[in-house]
Amino acid sequence: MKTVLRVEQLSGGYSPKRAIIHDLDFEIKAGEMIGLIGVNGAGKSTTIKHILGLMTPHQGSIRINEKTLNDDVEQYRSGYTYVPETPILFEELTVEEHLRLTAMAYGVPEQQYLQQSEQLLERFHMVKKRKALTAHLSKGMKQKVMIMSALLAKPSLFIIDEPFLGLDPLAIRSLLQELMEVKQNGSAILMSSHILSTIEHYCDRFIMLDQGRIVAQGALEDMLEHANRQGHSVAHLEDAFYALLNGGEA
Amino acid sequence: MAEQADVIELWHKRKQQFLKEVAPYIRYMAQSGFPAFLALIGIVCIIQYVGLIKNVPPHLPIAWIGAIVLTPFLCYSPLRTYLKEPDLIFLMPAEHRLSPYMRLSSKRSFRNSLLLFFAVLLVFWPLYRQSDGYIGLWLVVVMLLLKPINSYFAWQERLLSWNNQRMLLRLLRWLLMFVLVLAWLMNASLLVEAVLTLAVLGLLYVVYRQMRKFDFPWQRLIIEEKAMLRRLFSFFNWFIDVQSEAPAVRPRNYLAWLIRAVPYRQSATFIYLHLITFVRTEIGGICIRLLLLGGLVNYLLAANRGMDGWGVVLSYVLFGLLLSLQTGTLRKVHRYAIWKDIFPLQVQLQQQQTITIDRLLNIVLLALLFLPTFPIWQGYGAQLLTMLVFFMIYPFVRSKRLAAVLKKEEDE
Repeated sequence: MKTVLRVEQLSGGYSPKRAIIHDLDFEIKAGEMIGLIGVNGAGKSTTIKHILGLMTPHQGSIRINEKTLNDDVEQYRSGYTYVPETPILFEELTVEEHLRLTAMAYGVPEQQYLQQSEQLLERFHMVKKRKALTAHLSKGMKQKVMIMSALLAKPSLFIIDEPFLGLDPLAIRSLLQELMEVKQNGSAILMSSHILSTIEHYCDRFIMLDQGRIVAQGALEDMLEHANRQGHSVAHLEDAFYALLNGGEA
Repeated sequence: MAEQADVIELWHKRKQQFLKEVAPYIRYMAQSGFPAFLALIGIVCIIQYVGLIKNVPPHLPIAWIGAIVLTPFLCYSPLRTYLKEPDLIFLMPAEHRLSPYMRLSSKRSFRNSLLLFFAVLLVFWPLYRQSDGYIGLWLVVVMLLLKPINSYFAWQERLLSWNNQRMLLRLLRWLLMFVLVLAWLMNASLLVEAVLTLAVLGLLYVVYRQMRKFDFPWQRLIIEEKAMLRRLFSFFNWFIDVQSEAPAVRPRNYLAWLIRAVPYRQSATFIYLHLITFVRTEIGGICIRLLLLGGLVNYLLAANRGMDGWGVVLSYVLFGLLLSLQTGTLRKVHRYAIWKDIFPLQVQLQQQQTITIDRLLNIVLLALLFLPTFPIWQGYGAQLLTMLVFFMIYPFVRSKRLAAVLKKEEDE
């Protein structure tokens, strides 16, 4: 299967003298959903910022669809969409204007945008809010707008940071349904989340970070086996997570 | 007594904090040459005005001009309270002790707004003296009565729980005051005006009494305070980059057709974004007000052929520059938006779109500003040509300058 994201020997951080993430090596293939897990400060957000092109690596490379940011900025960026942990919206736009703006930015054909935005508004129960200014929405609704915008762009890689924060159970279910469809359509998903009990059912593989390094990666079975090899007896991702943390107990 | 002293001290402390916060920006503004620019405009206006007073055209509608000029200053009753959002938690429990605090705010705000009103009345007076309805100091007495009444009604509006009700009542008050001021300036009969005044005030009193109100309008006062600060810092933003909170957003549905006019194309993404920002934020609001004021001034100057028609040229250029100052702040609104670095659009393309929307807005605004100058379109060739040259050249000169600024910002 085609590799969508390839991260090789990536080290980086805010200061050129002090790296926060060290020698990260992983890849994501089309149709895969990968869970990026770790405690606060483990380096998840820094990794995501590097992939987004918002930070310059100290060393190593990041390729989306075999292109680095330096090869072709537009092609690199059109390869992904991003849903941040805290919704970042243009507050003077209405919900549907936000969707339109995103679709325009990603060059989505107009007919496709019109059709899909209707479906997304219905699926996320936002039809009645389509004309509402995003400034006047609740945090959960703002997050829905972010998610809908990302889904509209239909790139090959979705980068989603803590997607379930602020969402109601209905919206979480809609999001997961959408993500499964996205996966089936051949896009890849990199999702950072602390809700391990939920993502263990949906992600194909996990990358666990601790102090800026990958401490384990693989499918759920691999993570459990990895923890069990260290003398623990675990059956769930959450238990494996605690076990694999330095000094943690399952 | 000690409790009273506490809240009074708090008021003074907040006022000092505010002055300390704005002082550096006032310095930047002063260094920019803006006060000299204003002084120059003031001198030109005075020369024009003195010319008008010396030679008042026979059918000049002085009463109407007076009503248009005086009513906003009579009705507008701002209230500086220095209240902030955290006060909803920390100061609200002390609401029953806030009377001295609010008295200070009311007194200072009223004093300032009264002084401003009488300064405007003083400027208007020489023209008013030459009107048929001149009633001398009686007008001052009436205005002295109406000003605090307006402040009282403005406070009553703040207490209203429904926004739409407040807007509607404010509109009603402004309209009725306009009628009253016009009646007093026309002066058909003192008795009629006195009866009309009592009737209007009585009507307003009865209407305001019927409405459901808060005991203390915390939210309203905080919103007004934030709006005032936002306007002030937007103004300072003309001279230096000011990091302030996100601009206030208003739907302005009557301008939605403008937004819909932007074609659905990737190359129009930032044109779309900036146009919506223009329409819905204070930038658009200020431009609309400037356009109305500039249009009125241009028309009056053109109708009166002031400075042999060159007065309107000066005013046209001046308001054009003021409008472009406003559109120039548009690029700063989303300067730090993360999406600029995530959307698959190269920086150069984003900049081109920013320049395009700025140029389009300037062309449209200058064209609208040009329309009210029609009284000098015939017989004043040089003046007309000067304005047309400015209209055709300035947006493009400005685009070049904006491109250089954006390039410099990107390099930095």
